[in-house]
Amino acid sequence: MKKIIVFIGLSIALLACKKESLELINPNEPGMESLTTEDGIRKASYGIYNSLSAVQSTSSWYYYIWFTQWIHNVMGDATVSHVGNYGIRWANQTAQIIRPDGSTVTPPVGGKQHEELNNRNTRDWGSDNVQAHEWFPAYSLIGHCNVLLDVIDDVNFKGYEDIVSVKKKTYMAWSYWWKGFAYSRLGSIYKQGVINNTYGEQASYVSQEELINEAERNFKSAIELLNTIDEGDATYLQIMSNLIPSHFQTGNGGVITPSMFIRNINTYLARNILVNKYAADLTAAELTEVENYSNNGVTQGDLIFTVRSAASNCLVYETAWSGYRLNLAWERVSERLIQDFRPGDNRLTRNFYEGTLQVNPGQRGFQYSTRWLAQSVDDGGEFMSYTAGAVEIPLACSYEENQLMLAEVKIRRGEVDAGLAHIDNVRTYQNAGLTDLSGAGLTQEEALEELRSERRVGLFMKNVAFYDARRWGVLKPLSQGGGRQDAIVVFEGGVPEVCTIEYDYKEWFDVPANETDFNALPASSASSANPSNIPIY
Amino acid sequence: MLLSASALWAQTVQITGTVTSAEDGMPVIGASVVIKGTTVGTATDIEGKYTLTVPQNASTLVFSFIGLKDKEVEIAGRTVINEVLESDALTLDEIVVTGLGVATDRRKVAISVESVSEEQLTRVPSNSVDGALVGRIAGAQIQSTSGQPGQQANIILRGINTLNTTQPMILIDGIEINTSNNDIGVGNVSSRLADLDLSNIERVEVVQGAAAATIYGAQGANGVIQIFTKRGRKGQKTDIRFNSNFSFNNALRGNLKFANYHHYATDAEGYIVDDLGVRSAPDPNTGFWNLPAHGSGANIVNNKPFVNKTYNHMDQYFVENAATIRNSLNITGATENIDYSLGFSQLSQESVVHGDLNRYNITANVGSEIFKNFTIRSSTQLITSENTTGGINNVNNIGSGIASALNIPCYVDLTWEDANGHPAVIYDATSNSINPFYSYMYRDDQANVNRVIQGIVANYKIGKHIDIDYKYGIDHYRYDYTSFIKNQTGTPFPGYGITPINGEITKTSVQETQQNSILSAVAKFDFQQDFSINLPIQSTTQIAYDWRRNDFHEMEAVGSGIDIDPPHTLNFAATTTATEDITKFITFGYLVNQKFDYGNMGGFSVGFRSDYSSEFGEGSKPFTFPRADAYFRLTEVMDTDYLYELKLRAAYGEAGIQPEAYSRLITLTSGTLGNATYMYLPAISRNPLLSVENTKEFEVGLDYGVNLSNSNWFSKIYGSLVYWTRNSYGTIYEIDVAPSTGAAGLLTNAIDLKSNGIQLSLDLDVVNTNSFDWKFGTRFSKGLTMVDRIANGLPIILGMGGEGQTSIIEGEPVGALFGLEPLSSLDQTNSSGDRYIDEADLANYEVVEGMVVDINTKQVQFTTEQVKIGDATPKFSMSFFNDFKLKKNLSVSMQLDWVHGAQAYNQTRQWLYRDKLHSDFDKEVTINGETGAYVAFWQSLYKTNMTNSYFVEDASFLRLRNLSVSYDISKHINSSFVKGFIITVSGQNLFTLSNYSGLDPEATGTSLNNPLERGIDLWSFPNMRTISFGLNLNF
Repeated sequence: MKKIIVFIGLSIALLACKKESLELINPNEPGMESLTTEDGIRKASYGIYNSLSAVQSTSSWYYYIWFTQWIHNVMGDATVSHVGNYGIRWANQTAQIIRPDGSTVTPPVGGKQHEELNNRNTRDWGSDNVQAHEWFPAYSLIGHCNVLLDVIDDVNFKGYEDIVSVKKKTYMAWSYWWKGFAYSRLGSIYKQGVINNTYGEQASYVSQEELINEAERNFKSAIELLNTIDEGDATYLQIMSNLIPSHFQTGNGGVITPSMFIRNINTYLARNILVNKYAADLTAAELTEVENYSNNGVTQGDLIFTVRSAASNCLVYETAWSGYRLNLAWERVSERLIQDFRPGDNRLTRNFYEGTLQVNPGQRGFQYSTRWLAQSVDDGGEFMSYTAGAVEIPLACSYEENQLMLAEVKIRRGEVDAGLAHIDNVRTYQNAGLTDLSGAGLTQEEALEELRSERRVGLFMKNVAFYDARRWGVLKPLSQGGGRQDAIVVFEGGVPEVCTIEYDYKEWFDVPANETDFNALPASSASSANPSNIPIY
Repeated sequence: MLLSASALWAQTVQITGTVTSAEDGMPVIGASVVIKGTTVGTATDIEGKYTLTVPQNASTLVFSFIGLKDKEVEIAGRTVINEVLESDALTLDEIVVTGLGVATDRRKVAISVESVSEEQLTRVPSNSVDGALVGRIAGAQIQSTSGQPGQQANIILRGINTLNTTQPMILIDGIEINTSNNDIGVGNVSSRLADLDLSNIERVEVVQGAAAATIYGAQGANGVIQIFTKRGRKGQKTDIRFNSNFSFNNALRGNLKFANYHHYATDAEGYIVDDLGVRSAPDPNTGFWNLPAHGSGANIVNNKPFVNKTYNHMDQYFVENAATIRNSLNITGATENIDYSLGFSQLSQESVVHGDLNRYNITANVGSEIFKNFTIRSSTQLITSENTTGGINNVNNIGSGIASALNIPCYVDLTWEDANGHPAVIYDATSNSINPFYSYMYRDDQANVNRVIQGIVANYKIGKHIDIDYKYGIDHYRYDYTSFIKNQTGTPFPGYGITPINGEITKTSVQETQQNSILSAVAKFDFQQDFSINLPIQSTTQIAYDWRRNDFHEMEAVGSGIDIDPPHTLNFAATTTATEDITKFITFGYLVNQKFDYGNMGGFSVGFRSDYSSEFGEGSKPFTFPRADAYFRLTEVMDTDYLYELKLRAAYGEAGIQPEAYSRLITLTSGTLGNATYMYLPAISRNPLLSVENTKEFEVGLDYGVNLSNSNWFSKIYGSLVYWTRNSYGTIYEIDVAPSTGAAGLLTNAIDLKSNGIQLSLDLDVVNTNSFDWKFGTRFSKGLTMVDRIANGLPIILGMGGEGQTSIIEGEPVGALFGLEPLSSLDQTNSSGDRYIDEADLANYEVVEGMVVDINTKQVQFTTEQVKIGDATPKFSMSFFNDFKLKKNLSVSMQLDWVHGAQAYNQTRQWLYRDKLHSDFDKEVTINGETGAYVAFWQSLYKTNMTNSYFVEDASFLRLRNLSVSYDISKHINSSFVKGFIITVSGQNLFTLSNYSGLDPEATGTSLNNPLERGIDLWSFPNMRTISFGLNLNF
């Protein structure tokens, strides 16, 4: 008896210690081999959204939809943000405001925008480094697509050969599109970047122009594949319906057909030419190129890539993006946006109203003062709502942008009325209730001003505010002809004054230190990223 | 010399007898009976009996036993000598187990093992084990960083050797238990250590570093806290103890002060007005204020007295005299073959803000000798608790009640309600902060714990040499947490509130099971008795096989869009989603250790522990950790009456910490978007080459005991002094990589750490008379951990805006704070040698209060580069204990804790600078010859919430942790039934001496047991000042 008890005890103790029990499997997550199944490649292709949603570095989070929209809004002076979070207040720190009486108002705290941004371009500033916000998501997206393209030949697709071929082409086109998108974003804001076609490998720097060229290469690869897929191909449509999130498949979002996909890409190709140089420097050849792409770009009724919030399982956090925060202290509609509406524009009354006055908030400067709030979608507005899913913003390009590119090409070329007709198209499409400009006898200069204001108004929250401010030269110092002469600024007591604003913002971002610390810039270009030479103002 | 004497002995006599204890009259098992002046002796058997053959010329026998006073007895021709030994609770003589695996006489222990007795533990009325250990463990830094119920103290045992958590391993009666902390809202934890009840604890032992923790292998590097539960002693009479305690708690408020003046625009009567000149007031419908105009420019001063009514938000927010009730009943006893100890306890603790904790513990420890030399013991703990204090007390000012209560201007009534009695959501319509009273109305948090800890121990003694012990323990808990945000679409402020406004229920269910199975065999031989080798050598050989398994399963369901009307369940949510997380961890290994003791004079041991782990797969090699120690008791060779103990000891050991489950596997992470899941490569790359973190520790110690005098005063002093040093290699952490590769970071064995420290304990018998007894004790700790090496040599960034540490940098301490500094001189240069202020601009700047100020903007100027600005590690910490006993009826005890040289980042104060609420704004400064309370000057220090040295403060404090007075009235009750009837009145945290300007210098640290988030006061929840009334009945 005694021995039996002791023996049983010993056996139990030793039995548990089999080495096989150490076999290691993570029950929560699949291994890399899962990418080679059809389900796996579908889920992983859908996984590109993770890069756009939230990229977590070792110290910070980078929220593409929220941060980049926000930064572009404030640097384009479409909205204003005085909050210090994520370094955003420094991104819209104007150099000076010259009041009608000639007195100047300089920022109460800190120096010029580009100095403040450069001071923060070190890793220890974490997510307060504004110049890092677009870098992380874009390269995460490129890395992810590189993996997808890498494994595509190994995927065990089911079905007949022609079906397998469509599946493969659809997924490849998807990856090329997103790589093209990411390189476009990078090449439209960073002076330099890296072209990397293999996940995990490190490459050296190339110029902004080469990033845009790489975007074009990827876009064209996508077009080439899409051209071979029939418009109504059920396999393609099935895959795309899985790749566009269910709650985006409403409004302008939905299952994009092969031809719509190509038109979306063409509009982006046009944008890449238009927004990356000063408007005045566009050559006739470039205008023609823009026109050619735009002629084959997004048409009215085309579905586009969009974003909406959701109560859960969302690309943006329900409350953390411009579509939610426009009326909170985080981000407010700029006086300079409102002043660009033409009298009688329904879009102004529909979307904005005078609300809680914000003057020199937190004593951080009058450029952040505003009287305006955005009307909620629930009350007939478009840009702001506390209700999940109510606000839609384009993720890439839109019909309106395509029209206004055509307008620009034509007006610049001297075909003023033909160009204005495209502006009218946009105004009609957006139900502005304004009389047509085409045939109203506008000069080219007046037409260009209408174009400028229409791009401000018609493309609000459509990703181009900053690009436009840059290409029109508004961001340059006053001494180089930059700034805005007729800018409305609200002072104490809510009194608006017509001032001159010198923005003097960075037109191109430096490569963030998060990259340069591990991938050194060539010596010749390093000096511009060295923040330590700048004195305090 | 002693040995050669034996040859002279010729004739012998046999002496027999029984040794009993004076305390309970029970036989003393294993007492030593030795012929004085020789090493010849024996030990008493299980009935306390002994037989010893002595030479006829022997004159005196020495009886000794751990915990009892030695006794010398003249033989005087007797052959039967029965002795009664008296208790000697205050000598070093006691048994320790932890870190040794074998119960060992403390005199023969070479490592540091701190033990805390039940008496010491219960002197401070505490609700948890960790709380009771504060100040008690020399060398350790145990810090109560939150006064909310159910929280655990921050525990750092001898420096930092891993950066994930400093939580030590916790054992109950030799069996490892769960030490998880489950989330209860952001920033709050529900601690599994805090589940345990103090009333059934007999003793706690702590081993702090690898030198002692090697026997616990690849899990033991953070040290081990072992809890021994009460058990009955064979033959013991039934002992019934009932303890009841009632206390009042009030939040500590420290030195936090708010501005008495303001700088807003006012009307003719002095009332605050907005930008349009309208008096600021809450909108009667929404509670939103039209905010005061604050003007602009450098000359605004904070000097206007408030004509508006003002409110003290701490008075409004903190509940006064929150009650805590604890009751426990413990029954201990034994019958012939069965001993038992049963405990029942109940805790009911109100938060000083909102919600409460209710906990019930049932414990049983039953042992039985089934047949001769074979005993089985079963110990059980059943725990159930409900905590409703979570969710609203965290580190940000949106969800945190304390942040939103303190961070609003004094002219706002926190308790404002509309005509229907509805609290305001917040006073400022552009803010996303939430009024705490609104939160209480629309947010419910409930965390339930149901837990079973069951241990079985079987012990078999084979002959007198071999002891086989088998332990199996299972600890299973279920944690159910519901966070319910009510639908607020019907409130008077549409669009505002706790997001999501249309309600959300999050139900988290965690099930975690920890199993531990240990088979150990100990063989003890005495060379003299067993091998007839005439050397007083005892050999102890220990072999153990240890298997551990942890199964963790978490399920979380989120229901969004909840109806206003009940039932509020997931079934009625508009959309529901669920996620789950499964983790399994298995490790097993063996331990071999050999110890030799030479009488009571000295000894050494060597051994190793080898571990396999599921973290490394079945093909992996085991990780092996060696150890060795030695001690030498100088007292054995010194002929002195003064020194009764002087032991030199040294120990070396290695231990490890394994990577987190599955972190070596390259897998795809999943997410959900819309109605479908996706997979992606995590931005922080996994690393198949990850290895175990290894820590190597060396300690050298001196244990001393001195008989100072034979008088009643200053009779005895004893304690220990230890110096330790440890190196941790390959501490796992994430390092950055170039994002253009597609990944943002890599998890790797990134960091080597180097620590050393000193610990000292001293106890002094100040007075010892029949009517008055005074004992004094002190514990001293000093330790520092430096970052010795980082894999890529570059700083590791932790983050800005809320995490004051911001970086881990080679050559700097772990816990150092990095940030910007105000310029201190006009010609200050940056690291490249460039001046911050151009020579041409010098006229625009001057130094004010030691900081460079722009005389035009009145703003303080800062460096642009981050430097070390402080360190959360204290220079040392000390505790002092005084225990007085008057006429054996009246006891007074006090504990004073002193933490010196720790710095804290007072981010709460920094936030209060944002809205100009802090009392500093009333202070005048002179800039460019003009004096005033310049708002621009003070507010510039806020620096948009950037970590900067201005907010680094000395968080040293001296705190009266406890003062208690007990009186035993049983002497006045003439009842043989009542053995004790003690009434206690005590106070905790009655006073704190500190220059720290926040609520509580101890409550600093934003994340429990996170060595990198120490010393940060970010809306920290203060500890309580507590007055307790206790009743202790003993039958």
